[in-house]
Amino acid sequence: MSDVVVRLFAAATQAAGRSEVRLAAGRPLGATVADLDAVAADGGSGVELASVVARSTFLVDGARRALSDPTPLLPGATVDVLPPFAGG
Amino acid sequence: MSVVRAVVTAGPLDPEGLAALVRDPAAGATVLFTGVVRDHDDGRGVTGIVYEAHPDAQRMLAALLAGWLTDRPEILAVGAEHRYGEVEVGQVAFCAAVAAAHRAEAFAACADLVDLVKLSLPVWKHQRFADGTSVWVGSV
Repeated sequence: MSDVVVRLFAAATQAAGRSEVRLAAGRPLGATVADLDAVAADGGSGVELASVVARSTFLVDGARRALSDPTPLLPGATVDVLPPFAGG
Repeated sequence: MSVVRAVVTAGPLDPEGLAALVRDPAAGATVLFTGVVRDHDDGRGVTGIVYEAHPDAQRMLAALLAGWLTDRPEILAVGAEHRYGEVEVGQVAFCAAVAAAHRAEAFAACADLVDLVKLSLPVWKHQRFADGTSVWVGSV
């Protein structure tokens, strides 16, 4: 398992046309998430994945992480893309 | 001081059961909030909402309530439930209850708790409108 598993939720799933994407490990969160734009190209749902991602927050293995954090993602890490919450 | 219930479920919620759970001999006030799916939003007709919850949402809700409680010695008990999946107009999507010795602190705490959960719990709503369109609220 040398990849990073990126889990997409709600509007991000709709935009990408899938709920999970595997990307190469070893790069920081920001660079990894930027690669999702390429995924959006074949999602094709009318919702821009990039605009949803721009409003999202991120978990790495369950812990909040800033996009600017330079720590490389380890192989097997799980990244959650969380669009703005709308519970209640 | 305890978290009596923290549940994220696909099934119907039990607000009255939740209110009964927070009752305490020392509590002169229990406040129950029920968040209900309404038939309109921003002037448009709404026919229903599908909620999506993060797979760890229930554990996160429990941690959220426990953390919130540590700063509030005046609260004797707290609990909350959130639904996911299809929720019809008129059904309860979210409920929260608190108990305190006096009503003012119970009202204030319940309002604060509802705001916190809406802000912090990874739950999303896909709202369906009467005109056939739908949108993930707050995301686009």
